Amino acid sequence: MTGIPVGRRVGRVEAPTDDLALLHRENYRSLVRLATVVLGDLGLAEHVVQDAFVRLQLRWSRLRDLDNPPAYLRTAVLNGARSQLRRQKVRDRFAGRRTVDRPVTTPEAAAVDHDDQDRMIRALRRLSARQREALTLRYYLDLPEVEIAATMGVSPGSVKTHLHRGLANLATMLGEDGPPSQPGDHQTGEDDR
Amino acid sequence: MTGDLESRLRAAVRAEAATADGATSMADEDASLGAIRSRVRTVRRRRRAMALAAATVAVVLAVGALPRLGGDRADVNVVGGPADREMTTTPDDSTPGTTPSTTGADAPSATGEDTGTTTSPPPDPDIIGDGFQPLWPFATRAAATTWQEAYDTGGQQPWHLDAEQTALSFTTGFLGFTEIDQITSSDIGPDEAEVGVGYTNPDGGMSTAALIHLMRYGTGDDAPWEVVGTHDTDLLLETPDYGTTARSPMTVAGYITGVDESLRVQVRQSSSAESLGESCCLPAGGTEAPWETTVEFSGASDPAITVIASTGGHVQEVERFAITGLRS
Repeated sequence: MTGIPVGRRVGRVEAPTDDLALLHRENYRSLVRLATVVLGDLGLAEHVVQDAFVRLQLRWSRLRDLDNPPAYLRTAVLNGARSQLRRQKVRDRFAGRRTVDRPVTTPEAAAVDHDDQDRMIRALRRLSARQREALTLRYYLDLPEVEIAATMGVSPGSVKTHLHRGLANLATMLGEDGPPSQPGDHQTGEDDR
Repeated sequence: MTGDLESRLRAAVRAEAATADGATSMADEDASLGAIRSRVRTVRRRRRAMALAAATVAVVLAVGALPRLGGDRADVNVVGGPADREMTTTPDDSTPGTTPSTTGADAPSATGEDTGTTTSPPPDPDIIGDGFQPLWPFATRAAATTWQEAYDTGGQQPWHLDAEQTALSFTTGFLGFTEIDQITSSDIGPDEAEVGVGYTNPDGGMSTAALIHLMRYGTGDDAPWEVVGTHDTDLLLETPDYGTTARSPMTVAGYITGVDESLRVQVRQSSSAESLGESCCLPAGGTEAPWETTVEFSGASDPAITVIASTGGHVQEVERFAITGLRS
């Protein structure tokens, strides 16, 4: 039903009673994780995901024929996150600190050095919104470029550009070698939001 | 090296995403689903009320047209309705305003008195769209149009074109909830907007107190934004129905999800700095727990009045609120 990783289901015994509950159960946590990566703020991430579900439900009658509601939700979450990031105060807050405490060791966390991870995440959040979204969809959700393009509402060619520039900018910020340069690389501002 | 960068990026974003799992619980997830359902119910209920109001207006229009078809209506004296109300405050021509006043800067006169009788209510020119009530800052369509014309010629009070500023001014200025001074979300379309207003928690996070629903009042890109209601989540104000006529004393009721809440209900209108009536402090709490109180009010003169339910006291005086719009 979805290309999005399904969240942990701990202690859940009752079955979903309707379409919304089913969709929510299968996608809520993964969408919160996605929004958390993009926003760096769990509270805002939950708010954005909730908004996406409300909009989906309100438009449900017109979306019955949608073959991929999770894709709609994913796009809605990214749009909502982008809207949040436009708020200067939010951007200022999340640029400087982490609001989600890292839990005790997870398999993912154990696989990477925490300092390196923090530097990587901080650098990721200094990228433009489009570069950050493209990299998140590619390296968190492992989406192919065509799906990233559909989610972001851009062409596959633009996705390639965002991915390439995003990696190059990450490498620069981390003081490492990145992919071969292309014209227009190292743009980290609002240029392509 | 690029491959190494990619693999480290992949590990980093997945570890970052996993932090959300450590901070949320199944209870949070269930609460989320409940909040989504509540918000959907509220919006649908409001849309039904809008449709009913629109249908009522259509019937009134049809009935009102019948005498006209028959000829002379000279014996009918229609005054005192919304269309007859005059503005006493106009946009400041001498000093283009950048911030709003606490009362509706363009509110109608409170001195408009009925001097006659009507045989049938005229079509309501002040309603927005399919039946949304003009709550703030403009009390009438004429007031909004007057500002729009003044802005076109002199650029006065440009904040009316900023949905976020309008929402924030409504909260901190008109309602007097000065602690709710942050924009927490924003979804702005050509003619309709939903703006989250909230506050900064002691831990630095932000909480949303209400989702303000705004609509353009008038036509064109320079039509000002008008507050028409809220999209409620865990504090629901369901009675009286949106768009119905207010009568004092008035039963105000809804549902709330929270702990140790203390509900305060106010009745306000955009042309008055003071509330027209108030009821405080109703203890409430639970999950979608019903609440009900009665409020008396007087002095309503604007075409629309605003009923506000608010609660707080945990972190600050007001932490959540919901509003509904009634006809006076």
